[in-house]
Amino acid sequence: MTHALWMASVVLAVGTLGGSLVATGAWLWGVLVLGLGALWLARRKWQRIASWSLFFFTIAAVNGLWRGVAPFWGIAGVTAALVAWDLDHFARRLEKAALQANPSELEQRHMRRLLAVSGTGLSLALLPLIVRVELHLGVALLLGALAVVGLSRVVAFIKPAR
Amino acid sequence: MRKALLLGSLAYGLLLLGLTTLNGVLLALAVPMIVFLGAALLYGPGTLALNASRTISADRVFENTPVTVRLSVTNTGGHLEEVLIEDAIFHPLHVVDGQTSLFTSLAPGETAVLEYVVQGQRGHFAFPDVRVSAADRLGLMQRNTALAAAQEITVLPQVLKLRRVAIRPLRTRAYAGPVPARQGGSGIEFFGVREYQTGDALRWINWKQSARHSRGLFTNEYEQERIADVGLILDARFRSDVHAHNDSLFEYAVQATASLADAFLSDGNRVGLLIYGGFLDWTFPGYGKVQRERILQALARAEPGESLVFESLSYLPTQYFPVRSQIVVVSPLCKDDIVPLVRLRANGYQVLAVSPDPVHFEAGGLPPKAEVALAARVAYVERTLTLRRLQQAGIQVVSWKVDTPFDQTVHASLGRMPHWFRGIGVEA
Repeated sequence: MTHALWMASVVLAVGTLGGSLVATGAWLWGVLVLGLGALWLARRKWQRIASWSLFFFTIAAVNGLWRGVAPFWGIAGVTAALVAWDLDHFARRLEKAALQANPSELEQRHMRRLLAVSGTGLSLALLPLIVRVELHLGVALLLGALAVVGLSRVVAFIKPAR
Repeated sequence: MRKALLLGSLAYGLLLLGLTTLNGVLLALAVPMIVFLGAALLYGPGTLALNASRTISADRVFENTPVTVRLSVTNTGGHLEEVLIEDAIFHPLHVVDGQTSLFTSLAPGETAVLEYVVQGQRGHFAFPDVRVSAADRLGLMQRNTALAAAQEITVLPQVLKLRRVAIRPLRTRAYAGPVPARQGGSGIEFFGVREYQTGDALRWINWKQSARHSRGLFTNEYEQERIADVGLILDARFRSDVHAHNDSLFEYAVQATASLADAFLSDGNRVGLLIYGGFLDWTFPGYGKVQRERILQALARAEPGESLVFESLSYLPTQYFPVRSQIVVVSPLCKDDIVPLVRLRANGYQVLAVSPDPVHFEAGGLPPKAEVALAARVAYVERTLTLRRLQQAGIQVVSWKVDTPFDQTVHASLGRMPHWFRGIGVEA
């Protein structure tokens, strides 16, 4: 189940991002996205390929949004890449253990959480496309401050664990 | 944690880019990632509170005997969603059944059990800490810990049952045993003739001798049989260890030492062991099953070692062995070993050298080329000369080609004391 969903996510990410980039005339970017997606599918055993793919797909999405790709495709592509990236790591973690206690239950729980989080993320990301909010400098600064606080929380969480 | 770092960096980059360019769509692009991070922070594992315990079916076994290991990890803290438990097994053990890693989730108070079967070659194995990592469902926030579950397994060397190993030390102990004591008395082997004494059995009277002399009757004496002190020396120097076709000659030497120790102890002798290599590992002499266990434990831990001090046999601590006792050296032997061994003999020890043949062992693993055959022949001549020189000094030598069963070699060479050897060192 994990493998099938991972493949579907990669195909979806490549389809939405690559297709929209090609449609806007950014052929090179489209081909690069397609190529990396194919490589990811073919060479899943490469340790870093999932992280590099997510990084490149995000860059490609930013590039596409600048070139005028419809925001929906960019956000959907990045969310699909995010899901594929997570499933890739989950599959590796499963493979690392020779024995799994209730593997199907573990997979189902992971899928449920992943779909809920990615669905929420996608919905929240698409919300501004429907509800237009004008960003003033004050709000931007507030969001910036929130981002800084959020990042410091992440760092604080990571540090004691190390 | 690298996952969280990557996702955090991407989200942060997008936020900064969106805010700098005042582009709301870029900010929206960061939202799924922020939601991922938020969920990971919310559902991430807290401090790991786990206990591990390990039980093993046996802590001392012989080679290739299966041992069942049962590892239990109990969660005494909060709920853990994705837990990876890994137990490391390495040389000399290997897993023959079951698995050493488990991926599971642990509710508070729940116990995960890993059960597997291991077996292995001679050696001592201390189980390392159990590695446990717990992560949130998205695998972003991970906590790792190592749990102590100490247990040790000693894999003893294989002991081959040997038939009689005939030795003839210059001095024996007071108790009855199988070793000829070089003293007249009651026994089996004829020892000599003496004048009749009151109380001698009639069947011991040597009638032919008595008939030739007018002085009176003469009685046959038989050689007393007692137990002896035996000092085993295992050569564990690096230079004596030969490797060929993924096999080590040292392992054969260990097996031979274990078998000899078992044979001598079974005969009731007092046996000590000295492992001479990187350092001196001395097992004090003793009798019986307890001593057998001590020696096998010492042999299980024996490893070839290197030391400048113990590079040659010159520093053999002879004070460990009782004067004029039997010393058995298990070594492939090289040219430099002649002098120290002859010195042992000169000091009054009865020396037996059991030598696993390194030339035959190594040549067997080499390609059949003319130059290899020539080199093997030269090495063989050199070895034969070394062994001859030892024999000439009165040292008993057993050359063992390791593809021949040790029992067979010992029985052929030591099953019975050679006739010429019986006279050597007889006390006046």
